[in-house]
Amino acid sequence: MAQAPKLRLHNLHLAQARRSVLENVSGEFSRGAVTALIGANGAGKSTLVQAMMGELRPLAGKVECSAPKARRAWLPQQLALDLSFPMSVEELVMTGSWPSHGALKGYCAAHYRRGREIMARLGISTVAHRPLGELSGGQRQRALIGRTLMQEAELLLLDEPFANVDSETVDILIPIIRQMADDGATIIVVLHDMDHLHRLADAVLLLRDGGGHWLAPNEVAAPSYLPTGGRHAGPA
Amino acid sequence: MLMNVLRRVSAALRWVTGVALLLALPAAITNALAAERMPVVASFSILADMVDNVGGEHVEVTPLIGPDSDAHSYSPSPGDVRKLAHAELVVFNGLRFEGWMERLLDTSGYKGALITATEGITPLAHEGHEHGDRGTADPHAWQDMTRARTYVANIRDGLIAADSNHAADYRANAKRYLGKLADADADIRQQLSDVPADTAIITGHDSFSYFAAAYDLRFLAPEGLSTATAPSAARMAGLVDTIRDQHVQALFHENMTSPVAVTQLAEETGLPIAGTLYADALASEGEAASYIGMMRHNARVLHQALAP
Amino acid sequence: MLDLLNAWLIAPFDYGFMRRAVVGGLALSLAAPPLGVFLVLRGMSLIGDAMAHAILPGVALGFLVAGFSLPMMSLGGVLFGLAVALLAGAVSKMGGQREDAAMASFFIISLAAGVMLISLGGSSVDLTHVLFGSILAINSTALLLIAAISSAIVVTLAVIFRALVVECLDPLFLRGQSRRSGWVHSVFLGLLVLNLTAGFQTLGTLMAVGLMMLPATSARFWSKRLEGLIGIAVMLAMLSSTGGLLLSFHLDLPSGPSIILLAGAGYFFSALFGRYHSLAARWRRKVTPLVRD
Repeated sequence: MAQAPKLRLHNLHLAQARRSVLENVSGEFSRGAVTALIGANGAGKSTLVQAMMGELRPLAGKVECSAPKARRAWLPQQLALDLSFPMSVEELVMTGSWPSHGALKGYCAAHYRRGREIMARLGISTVAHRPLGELSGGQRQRALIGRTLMQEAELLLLDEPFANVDSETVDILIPIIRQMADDGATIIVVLHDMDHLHRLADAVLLLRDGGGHWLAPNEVAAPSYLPTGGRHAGPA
Repeated sequence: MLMNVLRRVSAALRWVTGVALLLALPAAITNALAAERMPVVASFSILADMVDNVGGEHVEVTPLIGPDSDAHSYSPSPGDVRKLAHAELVVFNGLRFEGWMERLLDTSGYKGALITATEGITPLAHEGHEHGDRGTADPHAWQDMTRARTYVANIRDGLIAADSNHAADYRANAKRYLGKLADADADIRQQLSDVPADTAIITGHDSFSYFAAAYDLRFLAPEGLSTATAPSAARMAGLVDTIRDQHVQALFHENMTSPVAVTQLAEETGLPIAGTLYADALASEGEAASYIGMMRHNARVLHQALAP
Repeated sequence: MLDLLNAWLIAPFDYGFMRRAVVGGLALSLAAPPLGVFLVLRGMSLIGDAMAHAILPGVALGFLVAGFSLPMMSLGGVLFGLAVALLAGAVSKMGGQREDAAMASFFIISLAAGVMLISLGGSSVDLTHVLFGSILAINSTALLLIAAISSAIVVTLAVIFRALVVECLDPLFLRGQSRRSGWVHSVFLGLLVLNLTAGFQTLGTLMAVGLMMLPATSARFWSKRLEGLIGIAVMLAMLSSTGGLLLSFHLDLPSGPSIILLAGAGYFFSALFGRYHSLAARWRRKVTPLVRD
């Protein structure tokens, strides 16, 4: 049962600080698929992510996203999160209920239950009441993923989620991300580690030489970004 | 050809000169008239009014501290120094009312005649908390119209000494003014005789000792009403207690103090604010814009508020 | 013993002006500290001070127009404060200057302008009343105004609480969730201006920010949770305003500074003996031996 893709790119031309970064990038990100976004440093991954989230206006081309704004989740490399803010892990996860609760409605017991379930899945129940500043990188990342679960995110953009994170966290998060995809979310992950890629990705978008190349995961080999036989533009 | 041009030029020049002279004439006349008036500087508005009455059209008086201004927070400005430099006669109160006078005279380099208005007056001892320590003289002598006669006499004599040409006018003016003072004094005395002798009146400044002595009233100037910063809670409570203990019947604004404290006291004690009293400065307009007017105004306000 | 307590704590409030002052102080102590807590958390502590000075010309204009009329002065203060907040925000958005630099410039200009205006239109007495306030001069109208403003602030804070928290915590997340997330910051600044306007009458424009900031900075030594910070800050503010009034009454001290200095004493006490991050806490940690489990 093919459903319309949540995110479509049409001939995007993107620039940063008046320098062209990417040209003629197109593609479709299907529901239920995890797409890995790879490329060398400076290839334009973060730029493309910004454009996909609507933070950067393309010079030409269009980003078409059918997910409601509140159900898009973006975890950038540099978090805008204020770690010194006196908030506990549980409270952070609970803020993910904004799409359903908005700014005003109180949290009900059902939502708290859901929050606790999510934290249990992520293995952070023991630190539920600790302030954010006291968490390790991995625990923090799990809490943020917990928030996106609370959000019931339909589009999820993770920018290098496994950088500075312990392997236990990786082992917990990868199945959860896969599960989210299986539940219908569209997930895009910026990755460097080929092992993570092969465990996670259904499709790969490689950014190289100012353009985007769609590949299958098995076509990507480490360490350089030279695919073994690739195709240009258009989804698989 | 050349002659024509020259003729026209000279005609134009004559026309211009004529117009200029015509325009200059009124200016010259007023200048000449103005030069007749002797520039006098008085330290504050009450004195200035007195000098004006005695000097008449022969003097041009300017006060350093104008109407509705507080002598206690006065600090001389460059404009004041200039005024002094151009003055031919300076009148001040004395009895240490103007602590800044010496410095100002120094700065301006004024070397002319000085009139001390309170010369020859027997002062009352100072009871209050301003203008110096206890035991020194209270400078607010003008509040007693009898002593005010000495003020006028001193001013008259000083004017005559500085400008003997108009001595006759000064004497006549002074005589007339003293007559008005006497009338006002009698009227006020009569009005205030209606007020019971033990009535307590609260004011912010201790300026009314002479008034109290002259017209047989009781003025209280408790700590706290006149301070520049807001009074502490202790002072406020003290004021409220004083008002209650002394059975004060009415409160008055003063033209120089902030209305905040008095308004709060009125709300606290339920007493009415019966009007404005003028202590150390005249009003800029209205009844109290002259010394006699000020005294009559104060008497009327007190009488209205306190006479049974 | 009971007599002593009565004389010290209850008797002063026989006076109407004391009752009004303490109610006004308590109202402010409800509204100001939560704002202060958020300012501290966002690293905007000095902005509060800047805004306090920014309202001065507005207050001065109100004073020139209508004398010591509290409604007019408050209106002037609010309008001017909002204008300065908007201007500073606009200047910083134009790029080239961060918000704090723009604020600093504006507040210095405002302070001088305000002092100039008051000196032109009034006496030094008036100036000191505006700069240092007169909590003891709160009449019924003023009290109503303060209570109304404080209530409005508390209610608004309750309504925007979650949005404010999320905006502090993760502005990117909020931007993603709500199209018009910029309004949260603006409403917060508006509440700030409103609170300072309510406060200037009692504590003067120079110190109105004290009841907002000192309890908030002290609270950090006692709690790590947001609700805890707010609760403790409110309590400290209430203690300071009431205690300061009592000190002013019993020791004949000026009331405004007494309140603020008492809050300041609370800060020193917290820094020394608080539960977290204080000197005592550090000392305690050193002494605890290593426990192997």
